[in-house]
Amino acid sequence: MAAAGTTFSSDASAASALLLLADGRFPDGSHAHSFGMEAAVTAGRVHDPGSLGRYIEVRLWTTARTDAAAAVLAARGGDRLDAVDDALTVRLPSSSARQASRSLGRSLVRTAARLWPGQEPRLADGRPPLQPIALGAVATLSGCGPQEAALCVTHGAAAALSSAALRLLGLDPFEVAGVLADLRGAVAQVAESVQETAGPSDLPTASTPLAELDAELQRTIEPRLFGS
Amino acid sequence: MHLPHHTHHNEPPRRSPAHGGAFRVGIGGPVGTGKTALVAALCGLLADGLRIGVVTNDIYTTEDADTLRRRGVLPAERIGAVQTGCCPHTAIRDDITANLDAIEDMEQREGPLDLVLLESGGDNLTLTFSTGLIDVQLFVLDVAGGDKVPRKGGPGVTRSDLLVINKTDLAPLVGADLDVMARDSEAQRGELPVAFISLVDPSGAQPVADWIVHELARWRADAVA
Amino acid sequence: MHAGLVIELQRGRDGSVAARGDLAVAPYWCRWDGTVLWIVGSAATPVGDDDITIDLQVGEGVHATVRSVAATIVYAARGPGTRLTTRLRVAAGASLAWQPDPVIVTERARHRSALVADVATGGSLVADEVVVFGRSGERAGRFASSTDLRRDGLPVTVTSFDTAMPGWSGPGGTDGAKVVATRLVLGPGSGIGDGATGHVDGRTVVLRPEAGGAVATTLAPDPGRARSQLDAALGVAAAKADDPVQAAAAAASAASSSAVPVPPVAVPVSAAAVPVVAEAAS
Repeated sequence: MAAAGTTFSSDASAASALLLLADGRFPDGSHAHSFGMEAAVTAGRVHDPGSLGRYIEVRLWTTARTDAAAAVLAARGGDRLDAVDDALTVRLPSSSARQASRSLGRSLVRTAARLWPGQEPRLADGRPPLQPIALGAVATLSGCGPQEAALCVTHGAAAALSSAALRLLGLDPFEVAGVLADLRGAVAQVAESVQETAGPSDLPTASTPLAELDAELQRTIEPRLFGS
Repeated sequence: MHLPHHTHHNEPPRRSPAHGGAFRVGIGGPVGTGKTALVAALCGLLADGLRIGVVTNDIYTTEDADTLRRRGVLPAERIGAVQTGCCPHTAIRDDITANLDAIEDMEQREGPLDLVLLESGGDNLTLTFSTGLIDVQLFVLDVAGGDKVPRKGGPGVTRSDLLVINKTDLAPLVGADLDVMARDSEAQRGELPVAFISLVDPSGAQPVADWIVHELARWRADAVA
Repeated sequence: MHAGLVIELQRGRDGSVAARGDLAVAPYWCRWDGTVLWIVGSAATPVGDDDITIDLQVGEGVHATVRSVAATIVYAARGPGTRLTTRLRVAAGASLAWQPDPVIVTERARHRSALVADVATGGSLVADEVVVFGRSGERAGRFASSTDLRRDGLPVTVTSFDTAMPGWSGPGGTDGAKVVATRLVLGPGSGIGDGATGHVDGRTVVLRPEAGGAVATTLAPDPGRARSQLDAALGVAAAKADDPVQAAAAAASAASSSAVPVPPVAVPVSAAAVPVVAEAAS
């Protein structure tokens, strides 16, 4: 049931589609990626629930927000996927981050091709789109819309970062659940904040020095436990 | 040693060779049982006749790559590593995308392969491969792990297409009774095959190699039928 | 207060490079000495709601370095706060090393900085931004910085950061660093080969945008270390004679910790923009 002041759909089938996509068990390849968390943990910057919460929070408002806006555009369908992909690419100066996003996009496209044959999202040259764009397109195929697509991105970012930290540090899962519970407001606010993105050139641009550094630092860790 | 072949009753649907691509063999089992040594021995025995690729889900360092290269088991380009994010079971069972990508990438780079050996990173008796990922699975135990392990069961012991009990040469040293292991395995597996091997000499893997070749031929024949 | 500096560096028929435009707009003025364009702020600025733009065009075949005479201290904001917008255009066969002194964000500052650079194919740019969060023993106010780097009008990298983001100074932002420095590099002769993976360590990363060039970012306790970390990461060891961009970058880095020469001729500050044409320099 929609609370006053939100614009989220109260349609159960849209929510059901969102739950399918956002479920950690959905085979999208993301369980093997830490999105920089492996680097942050190795560097000692994330070491307990408090530091984990702060890490996720700044990423929600920067890199996850940019991804969420790209997902909104892809879900809305008003722009060519290539245009959104190009705009997101120039906001990803890290080649490791681009590679991971392209790889995860590929995983989503594979899943989409099995579930909705012939309708899976592709760029003009046949390549899979970057992950948030593939996700936005898949959201539409599954029966939800831009609002759900954005939420899937923000929730997914928080969940992936926290689950990587949980595994790497052996954190108490109840404390990690507490961190995610404390961030549910931010997860929702960030998703809401990008619903009015007008077009590819309006995608947010915010990042942080350590978000970029962690994306690159991870590939130097040996042995690497995560794909990115 | 003649190893019987499994039947398909009550099995989930298998990948069809009509999709193209290599015959995929999953290799699971606890750490230290000799999975990697078995993979190396199989490559040595089969590489002449088959184009082989290896994908490992185990922690794979530059040191491991260098070791394999020095041993000349396979060219380095035919050995791929997949990071599982500390979820080795997930990567071969619930969300197999990273492994599918690795196999696809290798075949695209190297051309069509006949056989892909996919080594799991997990070491638990509950480990099981998805049939969306592999065509047949081996489960490797070893004698030094104790002769009671087959009795414990688990899907690796009971349902793998071939159960391999390795390091038979150590049985007297660790007080393991191979007859007990053979009886318990049969009780768990019925008609499904068990191979007792020792890799002190890599040729000890020949029964497993023969079994793989036979399964590969059968899989290809099924495609034509 | 609004101030808009407009500077054009063009090579004349006799080979000399002249600086034209609005080079003195109170409280700022510029001096071109043939290779270095000095930008001087003669009052305590930015402060309040100052809105400053610097528009610099580097013409074909011109090799220029831009320095400021002192650090830019951003003082207490009023209203929407202060704003500094820099627009750089670099023509083919030209090179620009944009190396102003650090920006120091005081506690009551609210400052927005924007850099928009368009480099023609065959032109080179090295652009530094060094931000110090608070004077000694002081926390910083709010600072937001955006970068829009293009080649022939097409975007190469578009990024921004904002200290107001929750968790900005935490483990995912700057980890409490006093100084964040960024160097953009684009174009031939910049020392960045295509396809090279960038350097990364615990404090510094070199990123490689898809369309080329490099963006190096570093965290440091002071501006001197920030600059040397950037230099080391980008491999600027010594000035190369045939590499004007690297030479300029190295010279600027070397000079940053030493006393800055004060331009010998003081240009009177006036409210009206006074076009100044520098002496011919070879």
